[in-house]
Amino acid sequence: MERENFARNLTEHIIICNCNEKVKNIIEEIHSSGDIVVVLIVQKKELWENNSGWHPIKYNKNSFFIIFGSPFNSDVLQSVAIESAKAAIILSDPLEGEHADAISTLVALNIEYKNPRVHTVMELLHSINREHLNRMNVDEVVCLGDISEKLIAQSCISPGIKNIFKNLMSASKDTPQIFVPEITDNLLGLSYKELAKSIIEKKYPYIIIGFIYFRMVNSSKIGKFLSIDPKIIVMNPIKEQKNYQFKKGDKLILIAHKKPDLNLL
Amino acid sequence: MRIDSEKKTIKTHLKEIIEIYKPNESPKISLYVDIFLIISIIVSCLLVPLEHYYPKYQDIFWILELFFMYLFVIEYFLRWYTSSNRLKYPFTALAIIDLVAIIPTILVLSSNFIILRTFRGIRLLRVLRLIRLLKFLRYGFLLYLYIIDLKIKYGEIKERYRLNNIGTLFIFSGIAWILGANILYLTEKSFGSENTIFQNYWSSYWNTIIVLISGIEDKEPTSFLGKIEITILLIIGICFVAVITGEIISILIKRLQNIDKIRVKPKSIKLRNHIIILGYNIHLYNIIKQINSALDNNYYILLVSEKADQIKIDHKDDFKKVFAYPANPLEPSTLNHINLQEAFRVVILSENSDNSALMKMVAVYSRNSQIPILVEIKDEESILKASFLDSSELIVNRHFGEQLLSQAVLNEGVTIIYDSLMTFSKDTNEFYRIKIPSELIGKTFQDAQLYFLDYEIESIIPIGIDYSPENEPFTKFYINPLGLNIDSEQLVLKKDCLLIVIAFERPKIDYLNQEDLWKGRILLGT
Repeated sequence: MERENFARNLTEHIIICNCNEKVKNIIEEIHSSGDIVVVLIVQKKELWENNSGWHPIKYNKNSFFIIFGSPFNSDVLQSVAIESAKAAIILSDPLEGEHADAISTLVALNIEYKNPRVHTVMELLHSINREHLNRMNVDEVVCLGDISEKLIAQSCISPGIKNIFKNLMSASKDTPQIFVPEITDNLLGLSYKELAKSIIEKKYPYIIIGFIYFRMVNSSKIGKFLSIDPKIIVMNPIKEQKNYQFKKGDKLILIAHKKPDLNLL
Repeated sequence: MRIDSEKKTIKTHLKEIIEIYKPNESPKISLYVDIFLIISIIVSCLLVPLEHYYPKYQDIFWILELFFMYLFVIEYFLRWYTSSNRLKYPFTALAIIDLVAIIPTILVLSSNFIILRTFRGIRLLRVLRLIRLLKFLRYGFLLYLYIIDLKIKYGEIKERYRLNNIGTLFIFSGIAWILGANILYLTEKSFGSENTIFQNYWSSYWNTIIVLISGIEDKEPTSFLGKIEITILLIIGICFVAVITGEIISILIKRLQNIDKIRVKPKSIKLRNHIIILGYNIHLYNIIKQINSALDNNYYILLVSEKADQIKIDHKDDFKKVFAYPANPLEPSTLNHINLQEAFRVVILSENSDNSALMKMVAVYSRNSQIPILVEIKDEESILKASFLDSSELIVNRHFGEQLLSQAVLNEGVTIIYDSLMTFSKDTNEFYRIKIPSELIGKTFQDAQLYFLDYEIESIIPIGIDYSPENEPFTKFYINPLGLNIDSEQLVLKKDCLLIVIAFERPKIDYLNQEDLWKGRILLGT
């Protein structure tokens, strides 16, 4: 499982920085969805070796690599081909204790600095820090505390609801997932309602539940309109929103069992 | 499949307004209409004795009676018009009561009616108007909710201001006052010199109260025995004022100490249909916030933990209906006190170890095996240990974090979608299970999708079919059934299955079974 100087030629792979008790299931989840190469960067070799419970069991041995070193180290990041990676998960380092959020954020920013195109996903320990991260370039933040609270409240109101989330969040090929694909040229100009109707009538195996569009914001400094964030997420559109016509750059929110190919629609 | 939305909207709106107010489900105007009708019933019934005692205002009472009659006639026909089955409606118990409530006045109005030609007949019919009191049957649930609320509020005020202690003090002082005034009057009358103030019976009362409250002996008795008595009263007065002052100061200090803490549940209050949270951890505040947001503060939440009264809160509004019960959740006396039998849900928060949470789960289950128990645990192995307890649900939150982290890299941008689906608020969607509308029984899942795409009354997206047994919700279901290789027969919607939908709040299209509500299978609010 450990191979050095291996990953320089990798592309579209996923890098995981730091290891903790979640790493096992994350690797297994990613591998259950397909043959995606995962590279794990571990700072302390002893930490990994002393915690055999964190080691993945059900995974593809040819698609998992581990490297020991600091994710702040440029050589380490180069050795895992950060410039061609698809995404990076930054886990909380258990050695940093309660203050791991600071280090995780810096790792995420370092990766974003090396490759702004990489999709960074960071594990956050304390939800109070989320606001600061929203202002930075970290793409997605997962706070375990937030999930706990929301899931407990959800289950309290509707017993059993966790099974729906578990089913949707599982990366297994047999379970549905939520996809957010960008709209393809063949769908431009169609309204949400027309598209939804077409998907249902033609029995495509997807369920459209919403869409994302980007509001044109006036940048006073530049003096012209730029089609950049803030993005507007419309889930379960109400009457008027169903007539929204898709434009270039919009995204659909779909429930499907495998990644939908919108060109086929 | 297209719905005649305009026609349905008027009827639906009328129905929403005229039907009994359901917290957070009906519009506010429905509550005002209910209050107006309740007041009208009370006033119209009061007219019966008023007419008897004040015959000179007969004309005004008659105009009022006519007003109420027309009001109840309009109410009757509106309820008939908005009923789901107009043929059956007139024969329902409540419709018969409504009709009987207006008939006496209509008969009085009808001069041709033979019975009315006798004075006794008219009087009988007027008394029969009291049948309107039966109309309260319709408002039973609403009144019950408010009476429960009032009882809890009263119990809280009683305990907060120690009304029992203060009441006892005032009773003893009152006894001392009456006895003192009478004894002094009799003593002075018998042994005092002439014309002392205590020889007047009512002045004796006035002077005794002055002595008791202010401790000032303004007008002293002249007899020796009277002086002894007034001294005793002075001592009682000093004690009374001291104790009352002490009580008030103690209440104020306690109020100041607890100003930023969860209110402690008064011992005299017995909560019903409440949500119990056993244990405390850092997630508590947001869990309560989410539950309140989902249920719009309609349910009382009882937090049971040894530190429950020490927990500081920032936003008091989120804790309006939250009570703390500072006690060990494993103590049998604690579990007996929190009324597990009539609670809706029990949430057990992970504190130190999973074993502690599991023990609490066993303790709750041993007292009420029917109540849904939700247990937050840290270790996956704990699930296996408790999986045989059918009413319990164990959540290992770490799993969802792991899955979400994986999803975030596999399908970019989904975390915000899941976050939105997990969050309870007016602007976000959640998952609900709804009964299959009668129009869709026997149709396919696609038909249901098309039906709701055109449904303009509320935004609903069907995403799956639930075949779970009634007491095990969300255990056998298909999400995105078209994406599965399943028999097309299974995609036919049957009466006993449910639709899993995404909606902003509990869909109004769903018929709510009262028993489900009472048993807590469905919590109202969203």
